[in-house]
Amino acid sequence: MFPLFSKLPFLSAILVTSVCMAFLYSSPIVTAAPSVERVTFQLNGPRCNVQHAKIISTLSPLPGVRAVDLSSVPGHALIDIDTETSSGQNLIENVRKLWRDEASCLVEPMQSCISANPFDHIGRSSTSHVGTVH
Amino acid sequence: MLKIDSDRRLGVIGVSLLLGLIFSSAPAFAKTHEVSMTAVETDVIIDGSGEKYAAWTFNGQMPGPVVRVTEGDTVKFTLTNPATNKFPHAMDFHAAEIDFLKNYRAINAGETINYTFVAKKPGIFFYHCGAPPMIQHIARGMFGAIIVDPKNAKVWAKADREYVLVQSEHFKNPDDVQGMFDRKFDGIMFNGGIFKYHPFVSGGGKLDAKPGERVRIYFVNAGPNEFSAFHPIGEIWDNVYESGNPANKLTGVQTYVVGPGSAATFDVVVESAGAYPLVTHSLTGALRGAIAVLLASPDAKPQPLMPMVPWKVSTPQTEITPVPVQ
Repeated sequence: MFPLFSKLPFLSAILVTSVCMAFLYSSPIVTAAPSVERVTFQLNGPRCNVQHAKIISTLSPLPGVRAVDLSSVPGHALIDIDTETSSGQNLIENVRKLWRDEASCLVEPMQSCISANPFDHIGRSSTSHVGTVH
Repeated sequence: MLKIDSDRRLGVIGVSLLLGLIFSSAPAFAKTHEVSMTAVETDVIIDGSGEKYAAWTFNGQMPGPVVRVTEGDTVKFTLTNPATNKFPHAMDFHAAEIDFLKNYRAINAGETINYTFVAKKPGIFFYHCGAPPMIQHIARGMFGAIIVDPKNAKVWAKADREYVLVQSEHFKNPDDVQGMFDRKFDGIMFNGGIFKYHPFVSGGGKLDAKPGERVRIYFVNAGPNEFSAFHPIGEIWDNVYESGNPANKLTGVQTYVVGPGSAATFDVVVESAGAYPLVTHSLTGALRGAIAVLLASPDAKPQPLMPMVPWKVSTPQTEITPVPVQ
């Protein structure tokens, strides 16, 4: 069926290898889309409302932070992070360092019975489809 | 002679009054609604990460569009199954009282079916595809809600804000019919999304209300298998109306069970600002997707009956931006 293969095996091997290499290198590189996770902080204190700008400017430059939303849920900061470069734990540690002397607006990780991710006791939520209560 | 005239006059007045009464109580102002839907086999987004699901839908969305009529109205319904589809589909309206063999039969791709019914009873009703295997057609997204408003709007308290929530099970493998029979669901959805109205979850939104408003939830459990124990965390249902019929009124209810294929209307008046998650208290369902946060805030804006349907999840930007919630 393929007489070339039997008559010129060496050339055939080179030909097949070349075709395969060309195919591999011309194919688009498929990379997984970065996973985004939402971390929620509760803002407690009399001066939280006037410190929105400071909160945003503090959180925004942190590695892996993709979006900061202080308007959707009053008294809360909703932060979308890229899980490849950051984690909820990492973000919380950073925030605690930055806010350790700040008594007028306490920033704490949110935990509640509707936290979606059960195996995480630092208060982060994700789109994980399993859960627990309190 | 005079007596006869007087009797005749009285008779005419009596008949006129009687006719007036009949026409004022009958659906004299009943409307006819032409409702057309198309079976669409398409991908839909089912979570905040943008995950797609190979759904079967009415009009390309899961749940299908909300149909709203008034008690006594006539619905002239048309279902189209385009030739581009692969499977037979059908439509079963729980608000209708008509022959199922003739009207709810499955039609093949390329066919159309029409039927007419009068929405005689007020309430919130399920509609769904009944093509075999029905368990799969419902699990894959062919369901929705029809509201039949009571003819007399004063029969119940006026709602300040209304939402439709349709609960359903999510099976990751849409072709695993045996898994559906075995009740091996992977998540529970409200309005076709896992944690769709959960603002603490990536891509999640919320339901808005103002403190003091009477919020009316038209709730349908599409199933196909699981019961819902619908409960407002931090609140008590002021009223629950079984099947959404104002005559079926309960007061001061903490949790109300809605079986698959059933529905109820829930009224809640949130007294103060804050978050009130609406959940199925069957926690394996709530914590796998069936949480809708009702957020009470003085500056709450109006929202549609079924917010975020279809769900268009925005990818977070590379720069810092507010998280999109709508």
